[in-house]
Amino acid sequence: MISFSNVRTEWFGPVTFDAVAGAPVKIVAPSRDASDAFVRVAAGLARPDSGQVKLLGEDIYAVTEEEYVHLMKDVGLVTQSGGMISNLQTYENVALPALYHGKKTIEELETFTSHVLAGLGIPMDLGETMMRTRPHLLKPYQEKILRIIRAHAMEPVLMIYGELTDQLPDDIGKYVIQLAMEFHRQSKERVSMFVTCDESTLKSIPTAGAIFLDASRQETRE
Amino acid sequence: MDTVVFMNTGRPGARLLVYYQFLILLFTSLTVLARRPVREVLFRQVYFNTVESVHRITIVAALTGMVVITQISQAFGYDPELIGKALMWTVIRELGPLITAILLISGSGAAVTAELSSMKINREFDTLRSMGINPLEYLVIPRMASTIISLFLLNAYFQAAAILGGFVLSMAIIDVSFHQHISSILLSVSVFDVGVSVSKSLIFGAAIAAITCSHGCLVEGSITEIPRAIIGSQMRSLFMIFVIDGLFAYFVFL
Repeated sequence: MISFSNVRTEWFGPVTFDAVAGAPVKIVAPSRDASDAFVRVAAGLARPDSGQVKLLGEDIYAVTEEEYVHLMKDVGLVTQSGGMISNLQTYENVALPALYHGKKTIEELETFTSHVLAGLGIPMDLGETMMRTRPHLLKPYQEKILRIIRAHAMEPVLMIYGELTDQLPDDIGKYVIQLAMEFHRQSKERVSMFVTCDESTLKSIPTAGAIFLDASRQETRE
Repeated sequence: MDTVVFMNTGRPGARLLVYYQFLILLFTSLTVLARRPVREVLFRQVYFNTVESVHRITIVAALTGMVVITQISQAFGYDPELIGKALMWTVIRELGPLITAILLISGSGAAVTAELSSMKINREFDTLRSMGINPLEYLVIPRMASTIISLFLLNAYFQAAAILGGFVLSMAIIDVSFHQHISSILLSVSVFDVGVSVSKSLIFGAAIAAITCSHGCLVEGSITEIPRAIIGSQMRSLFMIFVIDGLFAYFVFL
């Protein structure tokens, strides 16, 4: 599904691992910058100094632009910040990838989004206001939740979360992890990768161990 | 995308090659317009380019028509047939496509370059790529198509506004008859002239689209590149439409 082979950047490495289908994976970075760099390398957005990254069986830095874009239809990415298209309304941002790839209709997206926002305890009128505003006017936690909804709406086989609970209030953070795990369990083939520099934020995620990007801690721990 | 960046080497003629690549990209990727989100961008851009600039086009067109009518009347006396021919030569063949192209470059052309370059710098191109969306298909193709469609529509509107608006404004200055005015123009207009005007607007539109979009997409690095990209795209677009207009004059009318 996703594998790193001796991947090294100025922020981390060398890192080698192979995530198998169905498993949640915790990646612990030594710093926020390293966490961000790892997510960008894993998503094919920043070429590492050395090593090979395979995404869905393909060397992500050896494929053509067309092949890369095709691969990313099956990958959901939630970075620690940014990631909204500034000239679109929020609801257009949320709907864009699923509509573009024909994975959901507008009605299905509305139902899906309402369900998640209701689960977070966000009143319907606030939810509607959030959806009709420009992304830069959203609070950071609102933006992050909507980016998670957008990624889930694409029904990807690989989810990459960068600092998932960062900037979220505690109760919302817990719900978001629950949401991510529920989504993960919906498909036996799905890999969910949680990248963080604060290991304690992911303690509720049931994994066999964590992968440490810090060279001095590079062993998989129970 | 990589190919386009690769070809922008800074060598003389490299820019022309990039513009050519963008045009090829447009004509080979038109099928993406069938996708709903891309179509929405197209409609939004056409609306922005046309409806939101109608008032400017109307005023400029009416004043252009009035100037042509009053100048011809001043120089040669009021001759409906001559005025019809003069309007046909100037407004339909030349000024319609040229003025609408200049207005489009100064308005939405600058906006397209600014928007694309700021999105590129803010890594929004990467955001789209990470969602499996080719930014060239989602951002560039509808903007290029809308520029061509908009210039065609604006040109047709400009000509109608110049003929009718010019007549209305001229009534305040000279004694003209509406019936004579319209019939003299209709008698002067030929399919050839309309064809030339339409061809010019489409070719100007394609050139402006390729230049404004490529300058927006090729920005790298810092935010200070954005004004340079806008100025570059404006100057090159203006230069290009005058070159194309000159080529038209040479090959079509001589």
